[in-house]
Amino acid sequence: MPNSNPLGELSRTWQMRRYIAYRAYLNQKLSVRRSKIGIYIEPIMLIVSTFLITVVWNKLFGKGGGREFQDFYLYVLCSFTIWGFISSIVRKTSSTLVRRAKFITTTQDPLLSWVAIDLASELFSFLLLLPAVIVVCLLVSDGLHLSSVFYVIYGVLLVLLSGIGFGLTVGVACFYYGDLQRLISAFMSVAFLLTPIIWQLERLGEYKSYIYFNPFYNYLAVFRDGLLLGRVGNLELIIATSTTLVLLIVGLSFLRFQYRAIRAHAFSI
Amino acid sequence: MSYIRLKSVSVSYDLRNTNKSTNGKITRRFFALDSLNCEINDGDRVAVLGAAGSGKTSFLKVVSGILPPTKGTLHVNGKVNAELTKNHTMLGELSISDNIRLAAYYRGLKASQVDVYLNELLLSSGLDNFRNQPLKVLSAGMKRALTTSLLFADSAQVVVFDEWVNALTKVSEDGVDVFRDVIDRSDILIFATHKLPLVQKYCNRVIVLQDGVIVEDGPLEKVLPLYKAQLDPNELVEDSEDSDDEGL
Repeated sequence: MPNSNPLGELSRTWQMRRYIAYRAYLNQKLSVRRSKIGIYIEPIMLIVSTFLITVVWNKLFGKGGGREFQDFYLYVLCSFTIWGFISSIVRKTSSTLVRRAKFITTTQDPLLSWVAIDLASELFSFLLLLPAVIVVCLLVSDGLHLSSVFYVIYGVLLVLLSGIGFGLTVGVACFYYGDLQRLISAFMSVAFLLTPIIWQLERLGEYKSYIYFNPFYNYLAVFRDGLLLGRVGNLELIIATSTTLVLLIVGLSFLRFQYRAIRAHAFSI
Repeated sequence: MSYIRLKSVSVSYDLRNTNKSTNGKITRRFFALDSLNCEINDGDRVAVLGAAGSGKTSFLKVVSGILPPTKGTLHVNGKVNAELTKNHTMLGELSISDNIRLAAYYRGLKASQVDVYLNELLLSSGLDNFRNQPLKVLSAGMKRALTTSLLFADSAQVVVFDEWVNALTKVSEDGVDVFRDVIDRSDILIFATHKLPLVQKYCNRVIVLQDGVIVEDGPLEKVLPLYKAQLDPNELVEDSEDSDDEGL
């Protein structure tokens, strides 16, 4: 039955893991079907565009050249990589259930599987970027720390698990409030500026501690600081992990209600 | 032994206004199904009949486990394969091979079994020469051949179809009735249709719904004449080419 308990939902989605992975692969294949450069287009665009942004920012805000430029480039590159992953997950998972309403109400597939397909597609795109980012980091920096491997994996895992929770809570809320999806899109543009992606935390000066109220920052810090420095602040780790757990628990705790809500509102989609 | 038991099953929805000023306000409660009691057993080939809006699709969704009853209890014994919508795993832009592989994974096959499944499907559907063509370029007949082959490859004790099944029931030029094979492999078949010749051909039991209530339930020979008698002659749908024949 679709309105099963969280463990049933997880188990049924796990049984569909090969289908979800293959569907994500096909989505990727579809996205580049008319491209001559194919899957290489995304890493090339990321590396070049972040380089151009770093050059412009360097001129505008008078950062130093040489080592300082290189460090800032890596900072922007890593920030853009994880931000792209986070923001596309937020946008996609918030609309997953609305986009798939017709199929959710006519198939036996668990809700989570629909969210998982979008998450897997985004993970696929992200994993195509990651090796290129790591190669650039190795070339430009003095080398990476061994602990970076752990933090990168942990950071990605936190984003994915949060995506599940977000998709199952905000995704359902989008059924009730049609404006929510647009608000989220608009909010993500503002969040980009409010999160230290193309600016550094030191710019906040005495207001630095307020950054912890920005949930995106903590995810960003786990990945970026973990990759570049091989260490992450305890507070960032704790907040990112707690946010993930809360989203996940809330997302999986009200499945019976979520199934009913979707079926009751599917007519209006 | 496969069976489906419904005891006092009701499904209701809150109807909401969609006009701008009252958006989201519940206007009334609508019963798609109202206190249904019914038992479907091994060997039953059930046609669900009724006018548009009588609750046929809701009934199929409930017995498939897709729609939980608002009230009452449902017991299902056996694996249910519900084909209520045209293949949602199919992506028109992708090649036939990719689509069959995707269907294989959807059916829970392992990577090592997928190529065998792919070759079997391509042969049985006669689409081996088109394996690398996008699905969207296939004709309606070719799509139907692919869909029936996919259904045939699936094993389930209970098979449930919505009205789009009409498109699958065409007998091929060489006289092969693939839909009959699908039926013969299942313990229970349930489908909704408006085509009475199909009911006569494939079913042994008829359930008639009206405003969410079962008004007739019994053997084909008894219920179908009663149902026909109630219908306006203009409503009788003969087995002719129709808009359902669009494959996927």
